Amino acid sequence: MTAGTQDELKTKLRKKFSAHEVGEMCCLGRCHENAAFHVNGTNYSGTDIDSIDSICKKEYSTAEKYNVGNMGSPILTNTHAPFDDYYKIFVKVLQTDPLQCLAELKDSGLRGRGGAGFSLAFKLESCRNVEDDMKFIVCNADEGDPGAYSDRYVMEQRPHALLMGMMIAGYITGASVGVVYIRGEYPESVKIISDAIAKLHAHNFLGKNILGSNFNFDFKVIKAQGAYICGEETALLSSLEGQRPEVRVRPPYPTQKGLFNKPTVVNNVETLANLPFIMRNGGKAYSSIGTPKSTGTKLISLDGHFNKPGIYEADMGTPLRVIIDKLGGGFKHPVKAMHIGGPLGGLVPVSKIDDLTLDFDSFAKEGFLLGHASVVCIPEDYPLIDYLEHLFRFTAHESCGKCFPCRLGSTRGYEMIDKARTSDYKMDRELMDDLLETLETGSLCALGGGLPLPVKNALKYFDAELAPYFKK
Amino acid sequence: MGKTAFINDQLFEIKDGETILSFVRRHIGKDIVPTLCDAPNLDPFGACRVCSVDVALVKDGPAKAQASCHTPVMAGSFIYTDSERIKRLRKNIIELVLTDHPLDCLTCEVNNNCELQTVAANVGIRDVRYPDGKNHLDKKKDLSHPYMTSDFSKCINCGRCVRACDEVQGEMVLSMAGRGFDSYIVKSYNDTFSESDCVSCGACAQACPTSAISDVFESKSVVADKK
Repeated sequence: MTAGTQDELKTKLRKKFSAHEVGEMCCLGRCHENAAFHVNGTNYSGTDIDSIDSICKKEYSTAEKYNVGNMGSPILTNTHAPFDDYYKIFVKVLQTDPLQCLAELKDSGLRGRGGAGFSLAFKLESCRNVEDDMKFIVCNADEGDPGAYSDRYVMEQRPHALLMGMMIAGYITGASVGVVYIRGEYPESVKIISDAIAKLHAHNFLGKNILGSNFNFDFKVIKAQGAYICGEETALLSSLEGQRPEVRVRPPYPTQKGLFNKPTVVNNVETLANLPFIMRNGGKAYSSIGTPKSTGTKLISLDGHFNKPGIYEADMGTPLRVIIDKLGGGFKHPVKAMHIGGPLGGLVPVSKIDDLTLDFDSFAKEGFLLGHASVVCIPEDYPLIDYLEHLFRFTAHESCGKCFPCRLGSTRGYEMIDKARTSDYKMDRELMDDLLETLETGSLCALGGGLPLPVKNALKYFDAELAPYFKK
Repeated sequence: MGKTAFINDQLFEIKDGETILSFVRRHIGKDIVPTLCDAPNLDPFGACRVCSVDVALVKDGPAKAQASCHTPVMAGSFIYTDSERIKRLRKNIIELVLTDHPLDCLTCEVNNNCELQTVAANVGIRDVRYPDGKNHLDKKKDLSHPYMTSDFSKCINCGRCVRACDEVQGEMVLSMAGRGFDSYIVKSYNDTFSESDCVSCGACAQACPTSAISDVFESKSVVADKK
């Protein structure tokens, strides 16, 4: 259930269900209209709750609707060719030298859309260069960042862009198995992707010696079980192996020793879904969009605080102001900050909007993070101390428990803030700074390592609001 | 000289494939970089992070803190084992560990032979500044077994026992359960030592840096306890 609408929703659900039948689930990807809930394998949101009687009788399907729009040179949100025409790209790829495909990818400058912004061509090449008879392409569709639902959009509206992207990645690296690791909170995505894979089988695009080539490829869909940490690539691989999703040390990198110790490429949905465009139009056509260091377009998820919440696609380098005003139609009510790029992204005060453009470098330069480009608004009247408490609580809940800084630090940070929030206890600023530094420099992965960014942003830009909670 | 790197601005030769930790220990001494989750007979794990050192690409250049136990030495890099930032990081990690530790050293079985105690003394902890919070101090001792005992109120979740059980003995009786702060060591299906499939090899007790798991007849106490 989406945080702000939980209480009302629970009250309504309790009229129909008993207390032990109503539980809690993580984000269902309905950030655009909130009031999200899940009944027996199906997601609902918005005003769906008013039809709870019909939902229980299975006579109702969700009325969910969100805006989809774009500006510039859209790649993912524009209309795609019908199935047979679309897969001509793949037929052409099979007749091309994989090294030529890799060269196009290098020209494209495509960087990973999951948060780290790592070069896709570099990853694929590194996996290709490891000799092994078994390799994997893993799609990280464990879209757990609150506020992000762009991967859900791609899976449900553009499933073949993703699947073909994975097949192309398999062709380039010599991998024969594609694993789509989809979060269990997205039952619709699981179904649509599974159906799309069945269609590929029916058209003989999968299996051994596809279309007479020597390329073998098939898919496996995995329904993830709801831990945010499984979006971290090494924890995801452990989870796929049926192990405790603990973050692994690197090196070895997944491209050397990944799933079942075999060379593995792990990439985000949106990244892989860009491959068909690059193969059809060439790497240069892709890199001509966006900025020199952040090429192509980016999907943006706007939440329910915008006048036009939805999924939008804009060229990298588009001013943030244009995205907010032109695409999102401005804020519905006064907002003081936006949390951009997931819980580990930066907290952007509205005063910084005009300094930012939609690309990795602009965000990094200003001390924020583009991440997944999900936007969660913090209303003017929402206390930031509550937001910080929520961030620490989230990290403490989702920490895998392996590295000391994150396991202990996230809980101690949460306790400290909660105590300051609910009693006359005042936090020691030096201790808070020490804790943030310990998390940032000491954590094993980006969960503990990323939490300090929004907290530091908050302490910097909302110093006056937070001052009463600290010792003078 | 083959490939080389600097430790505190002094040049040393690298062995192929070695970690920063083994490189530093080989050249300037075993006790320079503290460790908790690392053990000589186990694979690098990277949990405690107290072995972190600063690594720069140029002399006095911008440095990145890296856990030395699992990071390979890069030729030509500049390793700083005791920068102010690193000393602060180690101290702050140990402070966090002590927020969930009994601090009853004087009466503890491994007093004066405890890795946590040694590291805490070396990083110079004088104070635990966090307010009281959740902890595992009320965990009950497991005295069910003729050879093995556990007292998980002393456990620091380094995972050495779990890895010893797996990597050294191939028994996989011990494992980590739960998540985040609530992670804890389980024996088989959360049994006591005597109900579990433990084969009494003692590898876990030997690996444990505190007294969380101990061996009745091979105590780590400085003066052997009467049993």
